[in-house]
Amino acid sequence: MIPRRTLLLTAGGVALVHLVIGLVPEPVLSLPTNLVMLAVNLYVAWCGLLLLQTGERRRLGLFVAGYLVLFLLLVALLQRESLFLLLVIVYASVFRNGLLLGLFSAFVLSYVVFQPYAFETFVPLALLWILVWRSARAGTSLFVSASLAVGLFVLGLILLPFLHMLVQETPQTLLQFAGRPEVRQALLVSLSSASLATLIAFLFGVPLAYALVRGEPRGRSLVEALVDLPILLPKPVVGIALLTLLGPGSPLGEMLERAGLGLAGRFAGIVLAQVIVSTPFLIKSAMTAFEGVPEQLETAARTLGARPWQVFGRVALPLASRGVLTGVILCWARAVGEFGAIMLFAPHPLSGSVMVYNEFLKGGVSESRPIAMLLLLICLWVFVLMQFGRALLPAPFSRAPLRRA
Amino acid sequence: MDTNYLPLWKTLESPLVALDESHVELFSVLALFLLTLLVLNVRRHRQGVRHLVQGLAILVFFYIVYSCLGVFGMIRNTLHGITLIGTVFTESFFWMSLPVVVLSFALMSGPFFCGWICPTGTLQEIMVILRENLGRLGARVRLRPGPATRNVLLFLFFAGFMLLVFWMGSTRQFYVEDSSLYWGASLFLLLFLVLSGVVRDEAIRGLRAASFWIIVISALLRTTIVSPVHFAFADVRDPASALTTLVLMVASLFLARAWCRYICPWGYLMGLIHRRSRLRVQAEGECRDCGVCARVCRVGAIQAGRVRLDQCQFCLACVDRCPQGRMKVVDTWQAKTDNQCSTS
Repeated sequence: MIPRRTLLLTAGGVALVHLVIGLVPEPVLSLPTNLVMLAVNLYVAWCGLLLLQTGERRRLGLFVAGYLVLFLLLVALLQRESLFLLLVIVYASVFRNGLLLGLFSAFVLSYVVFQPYAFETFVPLALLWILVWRSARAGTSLFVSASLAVGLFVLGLILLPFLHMLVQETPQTLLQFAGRPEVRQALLVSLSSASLATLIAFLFGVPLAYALVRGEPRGRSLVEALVDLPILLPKPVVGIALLTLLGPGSPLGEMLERAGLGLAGRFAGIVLAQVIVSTPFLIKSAMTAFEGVPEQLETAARTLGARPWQVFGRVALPLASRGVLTGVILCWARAVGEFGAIMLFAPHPLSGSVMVYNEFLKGGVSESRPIAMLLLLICLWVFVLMQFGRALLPAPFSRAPLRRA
Repeated sequence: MDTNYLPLWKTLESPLVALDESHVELFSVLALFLLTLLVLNVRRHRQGVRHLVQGLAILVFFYIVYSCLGVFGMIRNTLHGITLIGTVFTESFFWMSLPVVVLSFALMSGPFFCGWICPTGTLQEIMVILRENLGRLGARVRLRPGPATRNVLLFLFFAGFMLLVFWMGSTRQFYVEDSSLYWGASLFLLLFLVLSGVVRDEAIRGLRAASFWIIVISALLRTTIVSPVHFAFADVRDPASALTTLVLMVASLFLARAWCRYICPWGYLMGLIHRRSRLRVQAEGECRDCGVCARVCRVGAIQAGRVRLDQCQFCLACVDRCPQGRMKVVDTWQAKTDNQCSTS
């Protein structure tokens, strides 16, 4: 407990200061403001005494310095006495807790200093502080913590435009836009075509990856380079290539059109474009995953009488499932985000990304932004779900238990 | 800010109105909290002093405070106030002041707001005291309702309340603001389940988190769900709020502070803070299993001689009543240095 005498002395001192402020001929503070500041300062002084009680002189110095900074910033510079009152109460309360103090500083920085961009600076700053604090607490070296902080800072800068967009529209506007049938239709087209494209890519990409890794065919490096080709190409190039081969006017396109299987400007065309641009991601991830599966295990399964397809289905694929799912996620994300190839090859039926562009051409940023936000939110949600789903799959194989046995 | 909507009984007007850069509201609340901080240390008749503070707090809130101190309203107001920082400073201050004070003091000295100040809690406490005295009276004339009778009574109450909700929905425009009634209805349902032994009390303690997140999300969607005591703070004819207040008071007759135990979203927040706060109630030393602490705890936060920090309301009844003096208010800041002293 604080000794009663110290408490009384401090309270008396604080009260005296406020009395003097109140009695100055031309008072800087109105009477109610002075009163409430007295109450707040009593509380702050009490918190300071408690700090002193724990025997940490240096911390008390920091405490006072922080108080002065807040005072200078909010009262002298910005002249926001009321905000100062509230913030200083919070400040005194969270001071002993490093995590909360950091969050509080982030709050002051973003909501008071970077005011127009409050939310979008606060979220990355808070996340950064929480992660860095945790890592520092866990006893990792200063270098690792510092690299984490720097990396997260840059990541926060990348996140900034998206977070900024997120707070531009009210939920009501979003719901209103989400209720429009053409928007729903476009989102549905985007999501379903991306999922279909991912399924197709999975069906032929995963066996291909397995074959490349296990079979080690002669032209492996050449095939790998070819797989990577769509990543390399600018997306409009893909669209133009597709149009030249399958578009109206080309022999193949005309033939398919007559058979009722036309691709250009159809749903199937969107899927085709997405498959082309997104498959490389799946194949590459799947190859890495399969390379991580020890070949001895497969050989063992073979000696126990498993057929090659059984080895693939019951040993290799489950062990590589996490890596493969990462590939599926990347592939889906790439497919749903595809714009260039679809825009040229199959702008109809309207998919989400094309619709955002159309609305932007028609009505500018304000018209297209809600749709963009809807697209962002839905994709983010699916993405998060998939990432969590990854944790449910068996962990990649590690050699450690075998060695111990 | 337009002051016309303010309730009639808020007699203390200008310059005591809490708007337009005058801080009387915050001052009165701060004074109340500082006073409570002081009297927390009174050893003698602490529970009587607590009831006095509760009464004083109700008076202060009823006559002076304008921004809502309801358990839903504070969450909503904080979020609303944060969005207003930088654009409308005065208003943001107005909305945020009470929640900020409550949370900050809880971080320093435990969640004494729940046990000593919260008007919703005080109303329930009145009913608990009423029931205790009624029980004493009932014991004298041998009119104690058995568990079966109690269940029937409760069921009747519950059914009646549901009918009322249904009737309100059919006769008047049922605004989304009125949805605090659903909280009342759920409270009765939970109470019925617990008292009739269908569900264990333990199993539904976690529901406060769900309640909290529902309120947060609805606040982010700019939907207002009025708090139980909201009608005392704003001059809107608020039958839903009044009815919910009635419901939680009646519920407290059956199970002390049922609202705080199962529903209160603000209580969830206070529970989170209590784990990090400077002061906490903790059991130390030898226990003789007399069970006094569990009996005097009105929220059932003490189980097997241990205090559950997320439930504790810092009323300090257990500290006062433990015959061993085993329940203590522990200062977590001091604990470290104490250990160092004892080792060195």
